[in-house]
Amino acid sequence: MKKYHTVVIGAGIAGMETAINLGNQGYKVLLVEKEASIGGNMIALSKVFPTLDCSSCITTPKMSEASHHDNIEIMTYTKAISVIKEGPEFNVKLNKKPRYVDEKTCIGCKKCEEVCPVYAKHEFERETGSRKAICIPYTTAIPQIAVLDPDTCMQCGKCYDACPTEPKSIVFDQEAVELEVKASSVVMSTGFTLTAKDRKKEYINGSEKNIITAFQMERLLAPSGPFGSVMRPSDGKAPENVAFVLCAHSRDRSIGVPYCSRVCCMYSIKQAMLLSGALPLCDITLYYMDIRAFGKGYEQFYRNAEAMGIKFIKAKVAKMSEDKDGIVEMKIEEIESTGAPVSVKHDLVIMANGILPGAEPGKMASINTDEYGFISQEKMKYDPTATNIDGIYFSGTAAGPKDIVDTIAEAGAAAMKAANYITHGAGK
Amino acid sequence: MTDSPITKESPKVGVYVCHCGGNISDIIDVKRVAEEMEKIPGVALSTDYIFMCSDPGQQKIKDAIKDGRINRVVVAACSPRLHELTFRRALTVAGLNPYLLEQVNIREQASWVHKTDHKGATEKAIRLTRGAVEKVKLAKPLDMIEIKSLPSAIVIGAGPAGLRTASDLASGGSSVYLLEKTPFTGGNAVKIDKLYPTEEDAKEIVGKMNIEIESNNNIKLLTCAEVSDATGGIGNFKVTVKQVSRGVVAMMSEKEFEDAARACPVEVDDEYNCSLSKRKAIYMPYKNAYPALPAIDWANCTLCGKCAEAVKGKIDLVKKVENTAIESGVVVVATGYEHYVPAQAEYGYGAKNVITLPQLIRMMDKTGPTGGKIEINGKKIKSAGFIHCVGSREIDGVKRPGPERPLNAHCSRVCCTAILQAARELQENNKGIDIYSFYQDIRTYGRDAELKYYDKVSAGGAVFFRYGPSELPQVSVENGGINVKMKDLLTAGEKIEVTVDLLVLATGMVPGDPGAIADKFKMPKSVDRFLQEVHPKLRPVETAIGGIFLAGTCQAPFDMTEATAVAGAAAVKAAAILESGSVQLEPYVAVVAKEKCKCHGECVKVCPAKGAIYIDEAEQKAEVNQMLCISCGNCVAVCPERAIDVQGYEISRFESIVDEIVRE
Repeated sequence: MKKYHTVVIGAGIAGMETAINLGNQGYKVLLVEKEASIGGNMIALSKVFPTLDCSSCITTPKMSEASHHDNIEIMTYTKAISVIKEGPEFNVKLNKKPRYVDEKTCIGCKKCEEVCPVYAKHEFERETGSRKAICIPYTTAIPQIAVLDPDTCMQCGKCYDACPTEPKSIVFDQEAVELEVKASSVVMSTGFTLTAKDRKKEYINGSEKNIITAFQMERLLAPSGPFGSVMRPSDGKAPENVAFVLCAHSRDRSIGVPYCSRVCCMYSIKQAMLLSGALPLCDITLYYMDIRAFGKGYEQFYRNAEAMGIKFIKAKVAKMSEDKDGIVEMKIEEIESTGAPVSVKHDLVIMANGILPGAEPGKMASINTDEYGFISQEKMKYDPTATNIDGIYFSGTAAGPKDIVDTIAEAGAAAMKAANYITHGAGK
Repeated sequence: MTDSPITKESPKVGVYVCHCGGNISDIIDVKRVAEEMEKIPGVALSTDYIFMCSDPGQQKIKDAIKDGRINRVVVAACSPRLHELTFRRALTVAGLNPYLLEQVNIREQASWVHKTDHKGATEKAIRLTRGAVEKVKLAKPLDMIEIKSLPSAIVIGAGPAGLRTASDLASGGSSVYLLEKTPFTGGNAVKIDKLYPTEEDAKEIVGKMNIEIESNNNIKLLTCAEVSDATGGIGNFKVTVKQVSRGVVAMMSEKEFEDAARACPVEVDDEYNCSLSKRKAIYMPYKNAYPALPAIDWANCTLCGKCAEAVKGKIDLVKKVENTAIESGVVVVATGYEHYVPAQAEYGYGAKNVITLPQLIRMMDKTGPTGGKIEINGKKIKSAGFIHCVGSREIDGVKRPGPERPLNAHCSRVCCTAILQAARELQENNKGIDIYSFYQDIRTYGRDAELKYYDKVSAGGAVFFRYGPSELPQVSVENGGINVKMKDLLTAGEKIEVTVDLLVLATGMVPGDPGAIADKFKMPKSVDRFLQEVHPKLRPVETAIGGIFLAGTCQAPFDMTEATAVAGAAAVKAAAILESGSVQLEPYVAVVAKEKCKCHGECVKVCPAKGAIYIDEAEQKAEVNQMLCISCGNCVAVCPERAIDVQGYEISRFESIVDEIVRE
């Protein structure tokens, strides 16, 4: 059985940063990622607050560093099934999903992608764009190896014919592989996912086109996004009057997400600023409950957005509906002016979805989680990345919503703890 | 110096123009930039790509090097601050010396700043890239300077962050000097008897960390110790520590301490209780403070000798100041924050029953100055008001009480949750109390903060009034009643007036140790005056000075969970240096052409890094200490013989850039 100093589960920014910190100290790390590329959610963002750096510019060097690091081995398209403690060490069971492409022979030439006749909704573009049934996950994906989606593939064989490698890299009968590795320590960085678009029925009933999720807006704003510009999904026109609905799926008991998702205020302000830059004539309004700009430089960022002419209205949106022309009508209470319920109209609405756990870390290992599935911080105040099991640590949003800056700090702390456990834990 | 055969060939430059997704290519015609470069003699290859920093982008460079098509690289992209290391690594992997790379910034310096002038931006990018091509043609292979790092760390500040970093590093095997300027560990945190959201006593949490510190032989804690001077750099810091004697020289029993304190005639405000009580000049902030040895407050002690008489042989009232030189490979700064102190009459501050939030927290502590009672004239209070954002989120011209103090534009992050936690406790202990919150935004972002505090306080009947940033609440104190007037945005600008028994000002966090540590190590500060990191995401705990890291609230307001996480991150970065035992420095150091040097000595006079350039008396030539040189180039500018160059940044190379940029 192969042995590592640390198995890091999840290769988003938290996992990559944890792995790099451990690798830099000379520890051998296995970085496991369930998706076909490392990078997590962060690589799909447009720009990041409060510096407005392009997200790719921050994430790709980390992806590149992790993948070229002498001490880091990466397994993509691999799910962690179980983490079981044996003595001071851990047995980690993994399931490598079939990619239907041979990772050893694929050269990432994209010839398969070019000839594939099937178009499917692109997960990376959060369904704002399309991909082929066989494709490289996205432009900057690591590894640059194609992945075939069996659900949409119609097995026409064109990709097989186009594949230039010898032997052919496309393997239609590839099967899942179960494997087990040993580790001296484990770091859970299983990340987050956003609430489903239709989680709140008062907002989405099914057919609405011009009400989109925050992540869809990230892709529309991203320089590498599907259209290279922001457009209304219903007719492709540039929006003229855009609304951001904050706390759309957070601080809301009615949908089971009563907590604050912590990043939505800031990412919505950021999106509003980017939109204002892209479409200077567009009217932009943010409907908010409280503006939670609490991190370093965040308050100043918020004030800049106000100075740019972005309108901030305190209101929780009660209901949304879209007419046949794609105009969205929202019912709000004008708390700070008349106090009366009114209707406002916008031609594009972005919902600030809430943050949910991206996986079930509590089911992989016998670690404590809260009622929402986030990892419990057992020694929160003085050992913030510890779980209830010595030797298992966490970093990032696996333990609750947080921004990238806070995530990266935790990744460092978790790596330090794992390193010290490797040195001492086994003896204790 | 490595001089591989590849670099002895005539230059074959590969030029790569990056789209940066659109950040560059939306404005600049990247194809044209690439085409223009192709025309320059010596350019073997010129192309463009969507993301040069991505793996496939880097692969293009590597392939061309391996095929022998190019032996010099120009990447026209973002700032080299972001990706120079990325591309250098690509060159190294492909077998080319990493200093044969030139990254030219056509994003920050062209596309971002000339958004409306596509043609002009393209022209500028062409000129900048042309300059880089000429510069790289003159590049020579360089090697990084490797220096040994001492295996020890200096951690400055023994609050939660400093304790965490010290313990983490020592546990990994490094030896740590932990400096604390007061006589006790714990910083500001130990004043909080219930930390949100776990309601744990910070004294107990700090107590756990104290045990980690005490039980680890790798840690040397120096209390009453301040940095008085610092020299050297990464790998070899030399720090002079000024340590004042504690006054108490032997262990004391609890009774002995009581006797000594009783004998002391001096009474001063107790900072531990936020000046709500008095203490003596021999003191311990709280019962289990660490080290468990009382200390003499030299600033207030009259040296009357009564304490020394009361407990014979345990107190030495001759104040000794010792300067010790200590050396370390890295320094972690964990100097913490200070509470903002309102100006006199700011929101009624200074009047009776107008207190700060830290004071309220001390009063609610059962072991605190009022034994946990919040009373006025022996009666439980019936109403309390909280003004949020006192000394935080200030807007120039509106909220700053005077021009003499800097603006606190930042949010202090912890106050909203701390206020609501305190408010909830008041509701629980004083049934029927009226709670009023005068706020701008409720920022209970933490995992349990929303439900545990905000929701509960609201459900308990608290009334929230929202003020706008330009119209602040007005406080007046009349006939013992505290009156708050404001325009409430939640009721469409209704003018409200509330009288409360107790008014609590939620004073924010301001940078601690104003400037002193930053100046000693020449560290940059952010606009908010907290210490500045290199980049909030790429290098969040590193400072511009190599080998110096930030832990905790010296960087920004944090709660204890966040501060200890950042402290762990600082530890891991420091550990990577300490464990490898060596540091690689950039080779951009001054080099003296000995044959030209006539020993004028001008270079030594202008050198800001003490000892980096000096006169070798035997040879009568200038000599450079590569470890100390900070590549500033001052010596280059003043040398009358032009005998000095900073390698990698030679004057001849700059001349070639300028020629190319201005060429028609």
